[in-house]
Amino acid sequence: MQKFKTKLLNFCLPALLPVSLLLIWQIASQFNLISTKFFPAPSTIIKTVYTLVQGKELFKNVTISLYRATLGLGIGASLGILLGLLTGLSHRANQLLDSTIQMIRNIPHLALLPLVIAWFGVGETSKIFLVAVGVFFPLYANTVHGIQSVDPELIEMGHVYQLSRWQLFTDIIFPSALPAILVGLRYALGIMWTTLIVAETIASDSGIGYMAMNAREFMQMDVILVSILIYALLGKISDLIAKFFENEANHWQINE
Amino acid sequence: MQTVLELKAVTKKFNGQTILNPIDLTIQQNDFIAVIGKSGAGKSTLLRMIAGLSAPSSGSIWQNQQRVTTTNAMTRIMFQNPRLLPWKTVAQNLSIGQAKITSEQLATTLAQVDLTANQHQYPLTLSGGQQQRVALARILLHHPELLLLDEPFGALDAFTRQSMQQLIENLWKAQQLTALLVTHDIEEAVALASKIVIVGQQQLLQEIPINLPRPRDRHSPAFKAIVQQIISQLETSQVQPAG
Repeated sequence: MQKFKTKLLNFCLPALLPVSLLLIWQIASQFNLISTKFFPAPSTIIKTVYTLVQGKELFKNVTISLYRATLGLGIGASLGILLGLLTGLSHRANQLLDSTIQMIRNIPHLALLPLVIAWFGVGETSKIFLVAVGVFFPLYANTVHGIQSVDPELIEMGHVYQLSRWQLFTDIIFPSALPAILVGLRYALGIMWTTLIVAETIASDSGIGYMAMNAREFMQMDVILVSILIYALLGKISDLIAKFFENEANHWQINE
Repeated sequence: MQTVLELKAVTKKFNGQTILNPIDLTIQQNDFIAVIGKSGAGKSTLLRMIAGLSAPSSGSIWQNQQRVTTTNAMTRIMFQNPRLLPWKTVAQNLSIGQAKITSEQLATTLAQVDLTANQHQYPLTLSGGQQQRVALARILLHHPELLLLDEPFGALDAFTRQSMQQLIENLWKAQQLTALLVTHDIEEAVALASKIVIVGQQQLLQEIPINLPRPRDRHSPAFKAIVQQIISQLETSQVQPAG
């Protein structure tokens, strides 16, 4: 009985505050204590979600946002990991490339937006490009760090056992660096979403961000709030997926 | 008696400092050499040169009449850190390397170190003693001719240390290995070695053959006498080298 009560409490207490706020918000809207023009009631928002899902709009916009995010992530992450592996493993490559990459890293990539629009217009390329740039740097930096943190004693052991260079990489260096790379990935996911939101809000004719901006034109607060909720939901799901891969890769670590 | 290892006037300098002055040493087949000396005396440096992990500043090292320049398949090393790959199971750790290991060889070796029940576990779930046994099993699977041990039991508790020492001795005898053990534990050295080499003051101070019968009885007067003798020799070597 005691254990059940504790479990119930553990589940309910964190939910107490948000649920109470939602209730207060709903009641306040129903009794017109707050302006429904600026704060649609939770019930209205649920209705809006239903309407949007019914029409093709929501599906089309979410799909295109996901497409841009995934493609940008794929390109930026692959390049980041590949270059990170290169500069981490090769001293020459490090000397040639690292300082340049670090210099560019210091430029806030969102500031590149006007430049990107000037180069690529307001089509898909500009958004995917910007996401790729944003995602590249955390993955690059974490990959290099992961490679450089490999235990040199393990590498020496590999040499004693006459592991080939490929075996050294697949058996020792890469598995050792993997946890760091996955941390970089989780961090990059947050950047992916924020970059997408900015790019879609400012320079787009489709996507969730466009949907929100368009709704603003017509003062459709409920649609704007739904867009925010969708971004939050997508962000949470991508984080869960990344966490899943992280746990899979780290299954050999003790979790006590 | 076949000579397995020969050191000829081997020296080691680092950053202008002399770590070892010319050292000559001969190791015969099935010898068990224990190298003892104070910390920082250069014992591990010597072992690493014999292993081919670092090069002598001058002089040469010969293994079976071939010059030692790098690591080779006939020599295996056991360090204080077992150096296992934490992302691989025990069985997978044992299978690394170029040589193909059959499942029979694996089973036999696991039984030799009493780890058959743990072969699918990950290293981080094993105790320190168990991890060292995995490291030992990995070594045995490659049938080395020369076994180098660099203070392998220093991080283990007293009981585990003694059982590991016993295990090493049994395997050394059964497989006719040649072993070189670096240790600062004099009892361990007297219990295992056929010859003790004392390193101090940048040189090889003394070679002491140990002729006690095996299995060695640590409580016998003869054993204790030798331990005392070595301790006093180490103490007097502070003042001047012998010979």
